[in-house]
Amino acid sequence: MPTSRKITSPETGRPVSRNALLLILVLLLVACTTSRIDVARHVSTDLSPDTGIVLLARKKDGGQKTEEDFMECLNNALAKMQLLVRLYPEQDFLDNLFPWFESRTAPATPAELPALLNRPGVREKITEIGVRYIVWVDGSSERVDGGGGMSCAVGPGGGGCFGFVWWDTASVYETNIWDLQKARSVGAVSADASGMSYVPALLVPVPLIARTQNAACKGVAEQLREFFSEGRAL
Amino acid sequence: MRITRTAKRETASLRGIGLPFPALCALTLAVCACSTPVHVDSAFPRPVVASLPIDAGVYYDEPLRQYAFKKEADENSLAWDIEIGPAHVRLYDQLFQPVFENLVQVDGLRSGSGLRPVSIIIKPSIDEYTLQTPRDTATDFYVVEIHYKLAFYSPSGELIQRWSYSGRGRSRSELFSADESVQKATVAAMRDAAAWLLIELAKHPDFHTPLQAQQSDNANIPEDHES
Repeated sequence: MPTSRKITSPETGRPVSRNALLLILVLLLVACTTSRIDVARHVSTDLSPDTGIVLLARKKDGGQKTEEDFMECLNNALAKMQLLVRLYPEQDFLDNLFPWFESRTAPATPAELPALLNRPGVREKITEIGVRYIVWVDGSSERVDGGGGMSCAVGPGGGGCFGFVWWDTASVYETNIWDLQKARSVGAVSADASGMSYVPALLVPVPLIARTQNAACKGVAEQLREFFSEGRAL
Repeated sequence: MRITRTAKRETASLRGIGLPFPALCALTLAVCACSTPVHVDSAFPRPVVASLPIDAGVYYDEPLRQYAFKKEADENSLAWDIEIGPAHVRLYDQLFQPVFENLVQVDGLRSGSGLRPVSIIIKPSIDEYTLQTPRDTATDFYVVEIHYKLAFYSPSGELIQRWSYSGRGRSRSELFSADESVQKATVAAMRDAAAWLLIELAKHPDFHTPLQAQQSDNANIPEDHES
């Protein structure tokens, strides 16, 4: 005679329903994010509390590809870390050095830094605001694939949705760290995160979102800390 | 600068969402939206440039001061009424102050009261403002392009030369804030054009040579110089 064993919650001792188990299983399986971080370090950084760093979104064709919320995430993540440098606001830097870091004028490679620093007033302004390192940020999160369908209906007795929607997101970001004082590249960090998001709906849609952008942000911030923390510099 | 809009339907900012429910919410709210005045922060930074040893006058005519981009609503787009004239006056004031040793604002190209204490008069103007929505570009971006002309006149009001240049700005489309995206793209286009202008004013020999010729009353040949 077959016997059935009920699975019980370890905390309450109550049996866990099959639907709840299914939901837990789904939560465990879906919305996973895989990420890869690559770091290249060329030279060591000189750190002191007076050293300023600024995160700049790389602009092309009059605008930036990198989302503003990614820049905000990166700034917030670095602000929470015990860095031996101070973060300088991006917009203040662009305004103080106007027009030399705009879309069409910003240096594309460290080799262009000496010419820029020799322009009247530029080196003096950079010294005045105390920014030593620029962290160029480029990249974005894109939806690369997707499918499924969902339909919703509302009537006098209530409403609901039925269906299943999924999509893949890829977040690819690259940062390059430049030393303004020595006019050279210090290193680079790149992050590549991908994940699949689902929205199953049985009356109520349950979005299970793969936070690829957040994973990339955390990964990049963690590696940038290696460049700007005490005892971590080469 | 002020942007107002009347909305019939806004689908452009929904690109990339891919979910029917938020799309439905966005569409519903967009349909309900009425004219929305938006105040753009149009403060522009003082540029870091070397000063030219020139006493210049700048003339802002009424078409520049009151320039506005107007577009009627159609089945794919909002109605737009974007006033960019006042912001450009502030931008040019901010740009020209550090570029020229002395800068004065003049109220006309020709002076009725004899000689002016300037060696050149500059008259900026906006040729064209174009706005492309994400629907137009099939991307997630609003794109603004502004085409300008900058005319150089002698103190007596004779045209020396004219430059044509343009600026381009992009801003990512955000849900429920098409006007904010357009504002950002507009400011980006203005800064982009200003960057080009500052560099050319400092380096371009076409600017200095005809000016010196004009000062010695030897030349008065209008030229076009394009970005």
